Amino acid sequence: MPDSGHFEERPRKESVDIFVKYLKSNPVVEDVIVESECRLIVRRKSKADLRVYLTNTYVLGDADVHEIFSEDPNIDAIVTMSQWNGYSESAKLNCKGRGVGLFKFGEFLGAVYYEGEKFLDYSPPSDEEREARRGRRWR
Amino acid sequence: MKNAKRVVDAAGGRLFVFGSVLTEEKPRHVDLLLVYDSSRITAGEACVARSALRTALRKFSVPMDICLLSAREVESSKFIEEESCKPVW
Repeated sequence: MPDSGHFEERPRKESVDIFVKYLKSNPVVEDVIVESECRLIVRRKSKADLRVYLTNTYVLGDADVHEIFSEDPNIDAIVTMSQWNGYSESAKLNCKGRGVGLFKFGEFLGAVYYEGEKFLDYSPPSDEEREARRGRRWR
Repeated sequence: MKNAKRVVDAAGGRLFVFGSVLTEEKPRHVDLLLVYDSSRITAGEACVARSALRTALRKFSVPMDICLLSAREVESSKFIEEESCKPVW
């Protein structure tokens, strides 16, 4: 049984609503099923479904990962919801070792296009990379 | 406060405060960072320690957000510097 304190770090309903709205507008997403205030199933076109755990932890560490897996060992991804939130490098690696992606809100929206290692390792392009891509397109 | 201190000590830990409580007169919540010694307690035990700390601090009317990181995670990040964390214990 997880630490009861964890339940105080549930994501806000309005954040979940926005997240679901963004996901549903993604061309690779067929549907999003909200199972509970912190659990979603993302159904993807021609790709495996993703069982996603949502949290609102300011900085998610190894102990939080342990707690989430104690609560739900069958997840494919953990997403920490607020734009201010983050996670430790160790927590990211810990999740990856279990085949689970650990993402911030915006990162997951990009990761959802991928599977396997590419999904687990996804990080959005930096501002410089975006600029470079834009430049290439305009040339 | 004695109980809270006992919990932090048992985790081989340190407690820091950060965020709006350091800058605002009437913060809506208090951000705390509990750093535990992962060579002394497991991640599961650290979660139990956080829960106990939350209980020990419940008498304060302001909601508390308690982040939980191992000393190793703290050392490999700049969290304490970037968040200007102030030590409590």
